[in-house]
Amino acid sequence: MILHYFLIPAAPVLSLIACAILLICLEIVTGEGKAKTLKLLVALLGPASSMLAVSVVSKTLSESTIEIVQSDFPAWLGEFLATYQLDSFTLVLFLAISFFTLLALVYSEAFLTDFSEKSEIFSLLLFVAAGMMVLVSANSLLMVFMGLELMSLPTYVLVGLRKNDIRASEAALKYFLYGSFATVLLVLAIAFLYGSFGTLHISQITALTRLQITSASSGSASLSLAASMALLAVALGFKIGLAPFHLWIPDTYQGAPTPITGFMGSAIKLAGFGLAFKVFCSMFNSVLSQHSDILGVLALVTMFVGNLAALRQSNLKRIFAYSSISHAGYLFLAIAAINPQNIQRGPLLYYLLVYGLMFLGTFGILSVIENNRGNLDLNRLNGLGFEKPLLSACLLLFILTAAGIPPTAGFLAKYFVFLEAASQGKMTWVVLGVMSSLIGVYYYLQIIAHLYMKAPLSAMAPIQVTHKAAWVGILASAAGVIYFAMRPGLFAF
Amino acid sequence: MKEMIFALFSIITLLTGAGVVISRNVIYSAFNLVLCFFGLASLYLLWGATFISMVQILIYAGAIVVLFVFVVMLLNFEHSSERSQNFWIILGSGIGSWVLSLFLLRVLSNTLGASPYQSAAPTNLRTVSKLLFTQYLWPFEVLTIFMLALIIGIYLLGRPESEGTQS
Repeated sequence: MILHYFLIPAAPVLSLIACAILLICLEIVTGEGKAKTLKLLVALLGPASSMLAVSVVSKTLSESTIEIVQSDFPAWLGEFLATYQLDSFTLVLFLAISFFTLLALVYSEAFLTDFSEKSEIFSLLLFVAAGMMVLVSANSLLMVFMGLELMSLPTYVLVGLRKNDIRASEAALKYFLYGSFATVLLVLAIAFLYGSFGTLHISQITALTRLQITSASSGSASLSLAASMALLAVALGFKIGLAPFHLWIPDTYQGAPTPITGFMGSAIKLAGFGLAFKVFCSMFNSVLSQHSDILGVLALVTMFVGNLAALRQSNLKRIFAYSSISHAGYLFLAIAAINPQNIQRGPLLYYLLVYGLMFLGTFGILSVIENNRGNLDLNRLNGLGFEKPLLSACLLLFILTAAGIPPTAGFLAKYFVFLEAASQGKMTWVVLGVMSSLIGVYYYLQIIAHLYMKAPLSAMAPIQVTHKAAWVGILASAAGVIYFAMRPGLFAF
Repeated sequence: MKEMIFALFSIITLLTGAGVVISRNVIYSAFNLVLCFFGLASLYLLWGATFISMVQILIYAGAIVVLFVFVVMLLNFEHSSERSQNFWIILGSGIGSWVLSLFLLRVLSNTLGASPYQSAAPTNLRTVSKLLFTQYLWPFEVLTIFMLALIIGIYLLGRPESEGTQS
């Protein structure tokens, strides 16, 4: 019984954790820097087995909808099982998290060549992935908190891996301080919610808020609801990098090791938006339409700040950091423009996956360039288009996707978000969103110009992809982006 | 009688809390923090939350502040009293935190009166441990994984310098 109701749904998380622990044991048995291939294989086994587990879970879910509360259960078991919830949206997020982790592991193996503690880094990545899965599948605010912390704290360490590098230390410290502050606000919000509803279960809070709104609501209860919603919005804003709370992102993304930045920009953003969706579209469903204007303004400010600030940057990592801020704006617009009566998860999910693949692919290529040419100033790209045609073609594809130029999946993703906003009658949002993405095209085209139209600087090292695994990661991301462009109707739920 | 004790311990907590922020010597701050935690623990005890109050003393006053003092001792902050003297930063953050806390206080006072959920029965060790191993088992297990991840992280950050960046 416990196998069917707990172990199978938890299998994607448990397999990640099992592989992480196995990796540590392997490190103890074989010793540092030995049996590298075996360790990489064990690490890759984590996300791979997790994907396998997701397919098993989706089969059990479709066969019989699991009825959580049954009469022969003791009461606590029902409470225990209600701490998480799996549906098709969560399972797709699980798959995406596993895939992004797989790519991040490959990149770490290929590019973090100056570290001998590979298995510790791998196991931390696996723990972060497990935290993200706990976070997106949580049905209890306690699990939200646990998942968020399991996701964030190992990431602070991963950002500061190069501890002799002053930039990396600054990045890690900034990320840690902003992240801790966000956690404090989140805990405060959870405390308020528990105080006003007497429960931590998200589905119960959803039901209670609906009850409160329909029955002539007392002012004080809605004040407390608004306060906790504001606190949650600020906490989430820090985590996913919305505009007034984005200040840590450029420095952290620049200072972190490049493969880790790719992981942060794709997988951690994905998990953050999974949580944001859960909070605003499920938990606060009944009050969402009252506050959607505030959320929309937050999203619009974020996309303009990201795109305008990116115009003045000359470092590729900073450009893509600001680009990720503006993408967070579009993603948040998908949440703000949602119709509470008929929740469409498709636009958000499509955008998240396309953006994540694009970001990881880009950072794979940036890692190659950084490893060969020392740093990532814009002029390091000069003439690359003719020196390395395939690599540059992939980068071109990712940049066009990020800019949202028509045949690519990036255009479709933006189109779906704008369509959603338009169907809610928010034409101003659509117009402003299109304007912002036109501003963004300028700096994306600048990168392409450096790639194909500038003469290479003299005395620049030739680009070599020393580790063939990196190619696998880059080409897999490119293939994913192309696949999404060809299948726009993938998520119709 | 209960109100008197409550008033006494709240005053202690508030005063020592202010002392943490005001005092220029880091060691004095740390000792004020210990007293502040003791005051909080007594307040918890007054509300019947014995377990929380014990944990407060054991973990915060016992472990965390001792850790603070050790760090201060090892790092030897001689000139730690130099602070950022930018007037506008102090003014801005002061006003900001006052406004935020007054707002939250107002929300809290509203909620406390209106909420149908009053504080639960007094917690003791038995109830807490029973809950931990039944309905909160999954969060509890995630917490253990979290600790493991932290240990690995601390090892990575604290490893010897020579092994770090070789290139």
